[in-house]
Amino acid sequence: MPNTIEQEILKQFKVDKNRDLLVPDREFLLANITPAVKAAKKELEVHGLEFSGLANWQKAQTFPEKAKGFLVKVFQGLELGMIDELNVPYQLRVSSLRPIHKHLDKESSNSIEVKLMFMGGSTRNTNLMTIGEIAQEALGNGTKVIVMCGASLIDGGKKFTNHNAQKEINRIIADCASKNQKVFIIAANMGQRSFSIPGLGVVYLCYDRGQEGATRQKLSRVLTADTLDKVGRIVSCSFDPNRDDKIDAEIFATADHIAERKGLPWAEALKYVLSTNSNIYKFSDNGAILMDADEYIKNTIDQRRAHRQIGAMVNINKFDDQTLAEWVNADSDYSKNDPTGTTPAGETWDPNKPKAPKKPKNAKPGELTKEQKDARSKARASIITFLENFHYIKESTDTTSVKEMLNEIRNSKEDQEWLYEYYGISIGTIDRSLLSGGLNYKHLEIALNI
Amino acid sequence: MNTLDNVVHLKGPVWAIDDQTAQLVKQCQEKKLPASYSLWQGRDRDWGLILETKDGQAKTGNIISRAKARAGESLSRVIIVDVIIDDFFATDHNDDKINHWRHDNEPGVKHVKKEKDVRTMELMRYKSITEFNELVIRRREALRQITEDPFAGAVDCFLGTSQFEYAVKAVTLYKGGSRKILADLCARFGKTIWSAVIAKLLDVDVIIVSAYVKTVFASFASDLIKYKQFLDFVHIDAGKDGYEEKIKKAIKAGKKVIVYVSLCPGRNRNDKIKFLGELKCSKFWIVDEADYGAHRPKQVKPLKEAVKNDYLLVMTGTNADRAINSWDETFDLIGITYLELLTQKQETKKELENA
Repeated sequence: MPNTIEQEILKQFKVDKNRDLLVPDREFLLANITPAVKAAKKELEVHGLEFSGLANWQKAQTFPEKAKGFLVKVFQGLELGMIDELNVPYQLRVSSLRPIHKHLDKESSNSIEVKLMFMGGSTRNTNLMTIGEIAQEALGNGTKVIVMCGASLIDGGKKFTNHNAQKEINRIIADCASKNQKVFIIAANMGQRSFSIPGLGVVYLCYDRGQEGATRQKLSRVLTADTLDKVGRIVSCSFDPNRDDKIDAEIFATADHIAERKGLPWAEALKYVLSTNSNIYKFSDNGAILMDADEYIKNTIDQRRAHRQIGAMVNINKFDDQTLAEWVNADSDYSKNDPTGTTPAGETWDPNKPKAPKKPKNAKPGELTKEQKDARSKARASIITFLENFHYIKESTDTTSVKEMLNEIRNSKEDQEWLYEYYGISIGTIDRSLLSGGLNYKHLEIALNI
Repeated sequence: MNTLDNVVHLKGPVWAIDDQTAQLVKQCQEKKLPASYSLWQGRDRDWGLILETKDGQAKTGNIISRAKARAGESLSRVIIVDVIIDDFFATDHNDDKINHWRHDNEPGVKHVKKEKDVRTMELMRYKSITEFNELVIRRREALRQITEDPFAGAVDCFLGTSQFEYAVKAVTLYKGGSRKILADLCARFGKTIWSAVIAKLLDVDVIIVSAYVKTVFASFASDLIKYKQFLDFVHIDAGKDGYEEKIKKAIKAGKKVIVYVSLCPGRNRNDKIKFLGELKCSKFWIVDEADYGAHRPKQVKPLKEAVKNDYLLVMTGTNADRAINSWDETFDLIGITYLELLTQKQETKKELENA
């Protein structure tokens, strides 16, 4: 039956398929940062010094002076091509990292390389300044390093602000272009929104995990303000690329929408999205390798990232207080996989040193208090645990559909006791969650069938 | 008009302010359509904002070459901020008529003549950013007044596949009984046009567009005023005196009204929202950039009291959860990711190749 609303819209508006082609393409590149750690370690050993590993970004960004050897190798690897696994032009077999335009014109080919490196959102301004100094030292005078944060002075004068960042950076780029100097911008939070730099070709993401919304904003910087045929490149620098989940949320949300729009089974929709957009590359010592859909899906399941994303789809804001409290008290202690291919870790602070008590923070109006946020994360963790282990219910009830599985539990006191013992929740909690609409059968089906 | 997030490179030093303007340029060039354009240089040598445009006409649609010629050798870039396609511009010097009319009738806009380095009659100077941001609306108004044709300069509005499919989804939800929708929309989706399509289909008397920026009128109305399908909307800025009377008069005349109200705190903000809420007619409320300032209780409270059971569309690009935190109500969700646009792009490419 023809959709009358479709017809109503088409009576007044026309669809132009060519508009679909205006969206700039995007490449997501997964770089393994561990060779920089190994290189730093090797160099220290040559000088008879002991290496104390810094096996995650947070540590490196909290103690940049201590991580100087590592950071120097990162900058030299990414920008000067001194480490094959981080040498982006080598990985992609391209001569430069200027923005790609399928129809290069004179102005584009004469433009300089402009890159933006985002550190973790919690990096302090003073540490960001130190990282900037390290970068300038490592990259030399051929590159102008700009630290874009509130502590950074523009040409020794006024400070950067969200308001003036775009204008000032554009001015500096124009100045550097006249000197044929590359531009390397380092930021943590500034420049996430309304920051449009036409010549920006690459965004480096140098943090572990990070908030989904902030990551989405950061990686959008490379997509805006350029030509119709631009390809934006995002390089996610990770200590363990197999566990890099920065675009998981976007991929899973897209699969969810496509499943609904096309009426596809969810797992098929996920595969469809990944195979249609084959633009995720993994760096290797022999150049970037295109990740295929099966490999990506296998990784997300092996690393338990898949269920974290399904858990994130559950809208816990729809739960009533009682249901939320029950999920908070449910079992969230799921076993984590051993990280694969990780970097040797070292102590960066004394674990026995007592931590300073944290001052209680008042939430801003309209925002959740710390306690509320903690409760929600605990509830979310329990939901993820439940979804991860949901297949056991299928096995123990010997049923095929989610509805049948839950019905069987509803009808058996013994099963209900087992459920509570195993997951720390009652069938009532599940029913109320389903009734609220925050959790729905689709989430359970996906968890079961992925 | 007040953001450079979507500028598009056309050729050499010539850029377009957004996709829509780029499409209009392309249309003129390909079909050799007579048009008028407005060029903006951007910044001066000290990186101060230039509140001037060079406005001219291209009788045979050759906007890019004319823009290049106007750019001069000293400038690295010009941005086309507006294109009006109309047969009126097939006649020599009709662009001057627009500029003269604006000089004589518009507050805060000056047609600059006889000034050093100004060789022709094309330079328009704006008193402040407010007038500058409204130039797209004002140029069309001038054309419509001069030609006495309310449809002058308007073109057909085309939708992308995703815009169309999600408009169907939103309207289906509303017509199925939903009152509140949260739309989590990625960059490049084209949310202004999309939300206006929904407004058109809901066939309400008054559309209220609100955002936590002062330029809500210029940024939203500039997009809609270009298209034939939205010409029946009467655009009213609640930031200007006499808006209440204008609204009442337009409703009485049976017109569709679109009111723009800034959520930035001000003496009369709550009164404005209250007034709009009390209008005895069907209403559709749009909250734009809803996670940016508009999500705080101080903004949400008066809105919530006014919206009651009207249609509501809360639009955001990120932090969708935060956008509706203070509403404390159930919303239906519409989300589109950038990856989805890329998926659609690949599907369309295949489809066009096979056609």
